Amino acid sequence: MAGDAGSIPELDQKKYDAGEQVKIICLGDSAVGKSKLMERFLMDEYRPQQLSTYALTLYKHTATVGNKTVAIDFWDTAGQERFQSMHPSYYHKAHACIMVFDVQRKITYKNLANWYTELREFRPEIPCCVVANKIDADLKVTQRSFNFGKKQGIPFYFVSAADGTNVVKMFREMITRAVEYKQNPSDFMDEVLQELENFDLEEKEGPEADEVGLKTESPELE
Amino acid sequence: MVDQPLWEQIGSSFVQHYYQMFDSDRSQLGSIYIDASCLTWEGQQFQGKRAIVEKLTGLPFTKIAHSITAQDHQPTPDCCILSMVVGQLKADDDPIMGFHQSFILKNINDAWVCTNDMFRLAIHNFG
Repeated sequence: MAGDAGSIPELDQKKYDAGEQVKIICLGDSAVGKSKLMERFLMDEYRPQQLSTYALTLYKHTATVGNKTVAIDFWDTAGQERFQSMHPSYYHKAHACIMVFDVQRKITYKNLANWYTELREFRPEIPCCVVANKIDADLKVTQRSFNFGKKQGIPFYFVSAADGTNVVKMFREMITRAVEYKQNPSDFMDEVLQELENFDLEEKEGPEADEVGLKTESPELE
Repeated sequence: MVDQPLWEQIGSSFVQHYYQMFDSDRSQLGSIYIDASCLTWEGQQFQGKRAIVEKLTGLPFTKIAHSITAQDHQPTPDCCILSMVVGQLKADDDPIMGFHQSFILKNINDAWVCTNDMFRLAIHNFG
């Protein structure tokens, strides 16, 4: 019966093979603010598509990377992670992954290790980042060091979905990395190293660091 | 009114009792399991009252509501009752999801207990 999903255009994952289509997935414990981050980034174009049979929420977005227009599908869970079941097709053909935790809840940070292991089982090489959400609740947390990202060699962002800090920067960088991975998957390791080198610099520049010639377009998606 | 078979009455009152407890206070669910009970939760196995209650109370949501769409009950050759439930649930502010759950109920010392419990979300493959 799995093949039946092919008749639902949203779930036909073959489209992600096409050059201008990118799939970015969100991972993390429930209630860390994955959907809130989407909502904050997409603002006016926030029009999620609830696919309840698949426990899945899709957010569509269009961006310009370099001189190309790219259609991005953001995949968000619809709560099945509370019951501990993520279907492999959630990871299938993803070009990048945003891993989110809640700085107010230690356990959500600890669980990143499990999410990361599962991600790498299915997608050993895609670009990934760690996002510390809800920093608005207590700005002091940004002084603390969260080493998970560094240990795994992936970028780390302090963000707030509530007030918008770093949200756009994080999403735009991830979109760029997803597109670059798609165009040149074999160069991935170089890419990571470069990201890491830039990482410390970006930290000091603060949230408004420049955004590599990337601008969004108002999408017409429905 | 035609009398329902006994297994239907027992099965459906168990189901009602189970979800009422699950939705109000999961820690009380220990009362329906025994040390030989098995739970398979989304493919993960647990055995014994304590392990089962620990799993169920540890699920990361504060509010949950179940709504039963349909239930079926059968007597088994060894005088147990087999029950299957199809329904929908809502955990905290997440979207509504479908689920399936099956139970085997056994009469021990004049009380019905659950010896087997299997749970799956009704989530299907895509792509």
